[in-house]
Amino acid sequence: MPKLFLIIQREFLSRIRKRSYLIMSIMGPVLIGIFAYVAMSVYDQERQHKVIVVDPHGIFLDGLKDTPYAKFSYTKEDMSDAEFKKSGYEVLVYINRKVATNNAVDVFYKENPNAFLKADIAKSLEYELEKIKIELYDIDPVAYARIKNGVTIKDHRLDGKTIARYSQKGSIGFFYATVICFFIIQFGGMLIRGVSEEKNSRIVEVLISSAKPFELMLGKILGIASAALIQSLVWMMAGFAFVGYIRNSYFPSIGDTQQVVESLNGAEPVKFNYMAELIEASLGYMLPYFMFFLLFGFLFYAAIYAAVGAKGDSESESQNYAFPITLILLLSLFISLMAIENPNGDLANLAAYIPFSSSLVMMVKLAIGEGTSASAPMISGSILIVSFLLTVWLTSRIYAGSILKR
Amino acid sequence: MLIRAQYISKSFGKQDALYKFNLELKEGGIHGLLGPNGAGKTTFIRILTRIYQQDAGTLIWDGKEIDHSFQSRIGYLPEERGLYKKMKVLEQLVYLAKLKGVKSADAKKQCAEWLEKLELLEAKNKRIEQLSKGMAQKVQFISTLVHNPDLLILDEPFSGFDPVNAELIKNEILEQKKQGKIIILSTHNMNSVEELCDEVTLLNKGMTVLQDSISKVYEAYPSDSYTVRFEGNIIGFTNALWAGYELLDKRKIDDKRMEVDIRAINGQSINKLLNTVLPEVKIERVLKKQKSMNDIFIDAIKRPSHA
Repeated sequence: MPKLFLIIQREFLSRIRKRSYLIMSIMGPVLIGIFAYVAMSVYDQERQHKVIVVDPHGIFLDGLKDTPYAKFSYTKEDMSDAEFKKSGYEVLVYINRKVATNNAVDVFYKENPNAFLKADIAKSLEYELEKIKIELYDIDPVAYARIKNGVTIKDHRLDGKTIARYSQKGSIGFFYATVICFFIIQFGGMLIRGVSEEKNSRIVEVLISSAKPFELMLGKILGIASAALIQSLVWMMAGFAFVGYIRNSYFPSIGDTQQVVESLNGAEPVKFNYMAELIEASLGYMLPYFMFFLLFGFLFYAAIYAAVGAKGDSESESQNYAFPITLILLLSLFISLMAIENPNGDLANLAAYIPFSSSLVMMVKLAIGEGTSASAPMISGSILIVSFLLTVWLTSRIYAGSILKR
Repeated sequence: MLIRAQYISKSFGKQDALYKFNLELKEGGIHGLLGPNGAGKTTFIRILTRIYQQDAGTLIWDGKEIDHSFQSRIGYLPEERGLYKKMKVLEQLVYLAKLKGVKSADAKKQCAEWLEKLELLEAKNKRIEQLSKGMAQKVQFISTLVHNPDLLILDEPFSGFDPVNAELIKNEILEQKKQGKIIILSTHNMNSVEELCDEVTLLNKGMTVLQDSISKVYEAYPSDSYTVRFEGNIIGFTNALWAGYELLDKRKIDDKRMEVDIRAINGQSINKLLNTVLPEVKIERVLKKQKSMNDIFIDAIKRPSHA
């Protein structure tokens, strides 16, 4: 269809040549860069702080093990404030003689400490103090360990299958759903502006006497969607590049505080960011689905936004009409969130096929995998494509009708 | 080349916008489409351009029912002009020409030729929003013609033009007529109808009030006004006027001669008047005044029953 191609081309070129498009294409990655830099700065604070443990009575001895945030040194010599100020230590931990009974330890900081450092010091002290008390009160360490052990609940399904933990995988799906949702909200406005522009400039009468409204509307949506996809692709690539850089450069030194303390018992400290690893691991399986539902989810909503642009008498009026669409999107995102814990519930199952919510909810269901048949994304996708075309047809009728009303 | 509209009807809700409308358009002719606002002119034009689908009736062009494939043979200048304000002149014209099916290379060449013809070549890289209203109107006019359409539909083509550019546009319309195009001129400007049109259709409330060649329309609406120049006393002349005539105006030519405008009431013959006044004054000349298209338009609309 050469006319359709012409319309797509014009819409695409007119968008990407706009100064605002170029600015946002450049500013997007710059903003991501700034965000990443700020994040890096935060991670940069996650270094080992020099901590001097003043233990005049030798109660802790060399008991406190280094953590990612704290490197402990020991002295039995008392240290005055002036000496501490002059020293290269950032934190001073004073162990009093009755620490085992009064459970109090004084900690002095040269500057405001970050929460991770405080937590590390507290956990290390608690753990070491427990060991001291076990010896002091002559408690059997094995018995104590047994007391401390929590209850292990073993869930079983009657059909013998293991009960899956959905939350982690579901969260990955929710991450993709969120990206789709914000993509639609971010670029939906382009459609409203595009249609309002034609309506206000009255060129639409010339256009409709040259091409069918369906061609015009489909071409407009596809043209603007192409421009939006390219811009978002630039953003995503920039985002992945920055996040990748951060992960490679900084994540190996990051450890979960809880697990670091557990590592005192001999466990390996965590050397990576779990969420980032999971997203990376899911890409191979999820990426085709993500791209499909991102594209058609956007196209479906784009057609609705275009209808809103055609219906409103002015761009600002159309923006008001757009509010309920945003609400529907956010509701769909909320259903996706609910689907993390109950991916095969009635609501999630229904929402996965309704075109308004399917592109978001399907992400969670696919990420979890279990209970979603192989044909489900195909059926949901087919409904989405048909709904998109129907919406374009309906929108083209509104477009022609409302603009040319006598 | 012949376009025939037969019994075209279109209604919006309960209101008939066009009712059993018939029209025949021949190549090399300019057809004036006249009527007050809301008469149904734009509705017919939109049906012809396939923007609207008629509820009933047929539209035939050279023996074929008009559908969307005919759009490329139509050049339409709507009353409410519109162009992409941010788009450059040449780029926009090329886009609109390509939408009408002109090949890319031809479109560029033809657009450049038209821009040169209408003295706009220097503005080819300007955005529409940077042009004066008149210049933008010219660009719109070019966009109507650039794909060399067989049917031209011009809705108020002279609005927004200064007299110089209006003349330029008028000449171009006549040039298109010479080339054998079918031209529909929808306007409220009766002077341009008298000057350009070969045939007219007058619509009112969706129905045809009158439809004929210009000459026959004039015949159908004969004038009842005369200008009489005479030598003698005006009092003598006016005394001779009896109830069948109305004095509209009088002018002094010189000390002896006068000129009066009179109107015959109820179809009275001018001969009767002349016979009556001849003993009183010396008649120099009698002119029958031609009814203007504007008067015909008003008369036709006011007539209780339509022709």
